[in-house]
Amino acid sequence: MVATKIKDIEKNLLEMKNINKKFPGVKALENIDFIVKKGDVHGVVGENGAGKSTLIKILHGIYIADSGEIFFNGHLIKNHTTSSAHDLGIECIHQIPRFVDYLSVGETMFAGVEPTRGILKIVDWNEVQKRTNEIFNSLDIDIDHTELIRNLNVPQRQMIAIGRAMIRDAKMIVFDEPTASLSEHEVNKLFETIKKLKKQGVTIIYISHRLEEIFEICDRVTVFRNGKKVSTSKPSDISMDELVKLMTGLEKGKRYPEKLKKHEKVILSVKNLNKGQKVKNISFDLHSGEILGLAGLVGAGRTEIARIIFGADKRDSGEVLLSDKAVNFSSPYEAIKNGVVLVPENRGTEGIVKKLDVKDNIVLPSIESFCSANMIKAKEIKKVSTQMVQKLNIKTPSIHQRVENLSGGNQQKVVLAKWLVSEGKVFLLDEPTMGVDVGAKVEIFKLVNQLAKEGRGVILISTALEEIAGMCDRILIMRSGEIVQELLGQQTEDVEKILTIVKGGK
Amino acid sequence: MANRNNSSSFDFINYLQKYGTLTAIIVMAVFFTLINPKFISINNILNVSLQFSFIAILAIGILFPMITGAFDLTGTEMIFFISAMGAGLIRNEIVTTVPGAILAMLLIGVMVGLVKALAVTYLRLPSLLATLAFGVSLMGIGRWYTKNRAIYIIGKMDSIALLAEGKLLGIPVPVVILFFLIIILYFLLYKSSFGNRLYMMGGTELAAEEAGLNVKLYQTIAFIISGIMGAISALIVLARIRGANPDVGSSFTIMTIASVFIGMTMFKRGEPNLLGTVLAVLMLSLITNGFVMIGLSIYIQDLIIGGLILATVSVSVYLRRFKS
Repeated sequence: MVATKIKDIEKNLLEMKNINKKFPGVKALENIDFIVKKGDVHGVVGENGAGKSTLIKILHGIYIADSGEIFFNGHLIKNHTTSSAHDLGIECIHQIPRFVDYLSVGETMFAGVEPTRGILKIVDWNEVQKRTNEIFNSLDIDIDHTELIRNLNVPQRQMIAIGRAMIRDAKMIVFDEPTASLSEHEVNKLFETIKKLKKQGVTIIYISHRLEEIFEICDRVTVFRNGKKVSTSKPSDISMDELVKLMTGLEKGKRYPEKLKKHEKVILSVKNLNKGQKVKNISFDLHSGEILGLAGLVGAGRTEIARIIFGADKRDSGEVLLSDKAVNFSSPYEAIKNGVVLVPENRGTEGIVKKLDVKDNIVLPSIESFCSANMIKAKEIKKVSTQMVQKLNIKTPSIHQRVENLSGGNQQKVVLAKWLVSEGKVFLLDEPTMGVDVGAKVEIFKLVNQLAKEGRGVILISTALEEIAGMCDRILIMRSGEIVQELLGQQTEDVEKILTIVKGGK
Repeated sequence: MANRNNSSSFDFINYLQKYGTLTAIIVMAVFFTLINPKFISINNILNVSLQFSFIAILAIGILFPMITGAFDLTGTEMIFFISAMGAGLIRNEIVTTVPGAILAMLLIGVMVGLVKALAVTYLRLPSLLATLAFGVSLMGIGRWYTKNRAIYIIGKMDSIALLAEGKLLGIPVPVVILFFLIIILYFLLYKSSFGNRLYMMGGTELAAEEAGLNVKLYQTIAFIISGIMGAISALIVLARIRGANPDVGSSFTIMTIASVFIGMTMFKRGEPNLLGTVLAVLMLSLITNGFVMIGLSIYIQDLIIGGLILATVSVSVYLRRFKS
């Protein structure tokens, strides 16, 4: 009896029992039991705000749980802090690891655990070199230990963080959305490294929004929703659709709103637009109330078209007409004045002002309409932004919260909200769901549909073909700067077909 | 990367970036000597070396908080405050021996460093503002204590003058002290694990925390080192003027900070570093002295220092931008 119990505990490297954590106004975690078996790659999924990061921060000693127990390797951990996490061998690899730019790889990896000689603690740099090489060799990483951090890209920095974890003899490595800023090739390289770590006996917790990755490398996956654990299962036992349903609580059909059908009035036309190799002789019309999809691979010229229409980039030739009037915007300012709005791909740098609060971000582009005699009408702003927060279901404690404190999906909703307030007629949406979880996506889609219902025109650019197929009334498929095909009606829902054409087939 | 190293042509920008300050020092020295040969007279060299030494000691102290990513804007203020306290202790015969005076002033330096560290690490105040405000307070206490006049210790502890005017094997004692300190601090920064960890503080606080390092502890030690260096510097000034003077010089704070910044542009990889800082102080000292030697009013010194710092920093910043 006793023997089996010990064996059981040995098999579980980590047991978090009955964890509760409250933040002002939010129950972040409710009675969580989270168990990770030794040697597993354990996936953790859930929407933004589901509680994943809170749990990981408790594991890492950054937050302290209100109640509950943590067992690591069978031992109860008391007074858990970041330094006890280090001592236990729990390391975290962040999306973009933070280092000091002017230090070398060796200095960075060994900071805090330098091999030293003598009572004067002289750092033994030969030993640093030797051990760096050993660890890099075992993981097939090709980085010189004297290279400066400044010269490394994100995947290389992640490798340094992994190397550092190994130097500290990590028992458990937590990957926090490591692939969010990696290319496909870099993701594969990272997965190889993770598999090697697993072979060396390291237990891994893997957090990601990209569900296909969970199926590729995880032995088990735990789903969180609204601060509760929903399930833990083997990826081989469930399908992608089931996983999405567990995360969102929504059936598949409900993920896209119904398409709208009727369009009559042309609201925007583009005629023979050209710009270098990226945009070749592009012509199309956008109707009032229509959602028009631009499908294509990255670099096919979709973003470029949007930027030209918006006046952010210059065109070589061609015309942009708004309600039959040639406009040819030469600056975004002109475009916005005329009701043409671009919601950029990179919301962090282009879409929101992180340090401003929710209400100020929402009214930012239309501030002039909230002024009388150059005085801001604060009450009006409060009223409108409160309405927006309710209408879009933006999860924020108040309209006075700084946008940087919101989750990614909610930040994106703020971006959309501010353009809803401004009376835009044409919306150019560039990857509006990038980095947003499944649930927030549904709400963003509803919103886009709402825009169309109100008679505005929407151009939707997305690399996720499923989104394009689910949302758009009409789809233009682009390849190397040209529109190669237009899909209408039933055809727009055939993801396979879109994919084939995007990749170069018929 | 590899291609750049292979190019055999003379890389002017690289050269300027690495050896610009050194070249400037030499060019300036030659220029001043040509105009006034007294510039390289023994007397003047001794004069420059004294000023250079105590500012350099101050600067390599300030360097430590700067490495950890914190500002320390208390150069002039530390010198005046600590020397005034020291002079008070000696005048009132609370300390009567030279070692006693040294120890007392070092302790005051440690306390000064500790207060700054508490403000920056525990109260989490922005270092720029906290050290600036603390410096003003130090100056205030000093002025209040001395009634804003120079106070002297002449006749109480005359042998302390050796610290400023003595010579060891023909080398002025302040220079010897400086070299001794450079050796110790060099070892501390670049050979010991402490130094490596200190540099790890220089990014965001998160970088150090992710490395599992105790940011507060290392930053506190850095401020204490800055305090100790301030005290040594104050000792030399006290020994030199046999007392303390509120008008000891207003430009030490900016000179030390600027030297750390100028030093960052020399050597290695653009981090705050020891030798670069010392060389930058040497350059600034030579130039200010040189302008006096060629007949410019001493009152124009501050203008020259300010202009010079602006010029040097902008050159190095533009060089870096041009390169990338």
